[in-house]
Amino acid sequence: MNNDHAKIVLSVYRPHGQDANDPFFSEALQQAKLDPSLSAWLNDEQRFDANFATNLRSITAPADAKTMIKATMGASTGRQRRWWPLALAASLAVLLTTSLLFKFRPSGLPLPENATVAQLATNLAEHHASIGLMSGDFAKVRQWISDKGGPLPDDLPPGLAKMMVLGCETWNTTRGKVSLVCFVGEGKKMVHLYIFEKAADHPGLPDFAHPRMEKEGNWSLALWQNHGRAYVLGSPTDSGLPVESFFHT
Amino acid sequence: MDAPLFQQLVDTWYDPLYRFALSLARNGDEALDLTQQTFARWAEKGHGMRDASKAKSWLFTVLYREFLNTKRHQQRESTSADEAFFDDIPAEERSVQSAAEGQDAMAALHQIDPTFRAPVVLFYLENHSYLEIAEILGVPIGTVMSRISRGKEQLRRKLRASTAGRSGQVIPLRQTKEN
Repeated sequence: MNNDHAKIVLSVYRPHGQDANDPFFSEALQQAKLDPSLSAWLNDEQRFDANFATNLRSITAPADAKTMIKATMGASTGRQRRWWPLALAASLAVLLTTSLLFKFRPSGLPLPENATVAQLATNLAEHHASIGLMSGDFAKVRQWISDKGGPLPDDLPPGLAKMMVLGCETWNTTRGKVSLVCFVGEGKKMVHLYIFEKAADHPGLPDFAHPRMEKEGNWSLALWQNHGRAYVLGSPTDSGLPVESFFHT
Repeated sequence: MDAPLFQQLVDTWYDPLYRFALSLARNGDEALDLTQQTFARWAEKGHGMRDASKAKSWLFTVLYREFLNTKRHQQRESTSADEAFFDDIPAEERSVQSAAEGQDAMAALHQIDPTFRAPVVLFYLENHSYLEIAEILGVPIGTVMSRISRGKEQLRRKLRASTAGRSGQVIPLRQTKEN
């Protein structure tokens, strides 16, 4: 991990030690221990963060509105509802349905059944935020994904080579295994590469040389298939980082 | 979900939610509306939540979504939505926000790119973890890191510029004790 990488990770490290035991930060913190310039940067960052948070906390909201919320809305939450007959009926229904369907349903992280690969990628991006490994070492990232049995990235768009790897994740989903590799580039702009294990499950994807550009929600995406895998490269539309630029040599 | 718990939630989260709303909205009234709508949603739907420890993320997520809905609605009604913040606020309303440091901090936040503002504010308000911020905003962790990192850089630049702009005045950030 180099200092640029460590700074991005440590920018979300909270100033009062709440994250001290989170393995997500361990490599970056170790780097700071070994590198005096990074250590000085971290101390300065933490001091700034603590000061700024203190200043924000000095803003107080109008007290009369608070009293009104407690007086008016609080009353409606106090009403006791006859919840148990409904809860009992719902539990029985769920139990029955689950027992009937359980063995026929695919296991893993539930993803929408009929969603396109673009929708699956944005669903993962927006609802399943996690990074299993933080590392700037692409070989380490590949090894980690391989150990987890996730689909590995192979040929990558030329523009990604100029970016730094930030970390990765794999999921076992109801739509098959999916891997994610995050890249960070100039101006700390981020792109996310999702790799789906079976391109055959997502018919119609073009090959690597002719990726399809799409917009899905707040994401600008490039989609392609290669060596039996389906790929989605995504960047938030407001990031100012067009995904098509990664395919220009 | 019982009334005492609701009272407790309001006591705990009213101020932080208002600060978050104030960072997103165009003025104090709008921020107050967002805060009230959030608690109204809780009163309406929060009963279903069995794990009270998740109330924090729930409340902030609802407030953020309310803000996005309001913003979309405003954009449909008017294309001249003004992002300027403190220009809109009458002086007497500003006095509601007690400390000058707080006003400086909020003013600086309103000058940074709106894309970075929400994650940066959540980072500073009540110390949300990067995972909670990702959950509230519905973006991947990598994007959270990128936006916070870039947002903080902008924030520092704005604060430096604001400090430099006030000749002879003290720096806006209060110094806290170092450990």
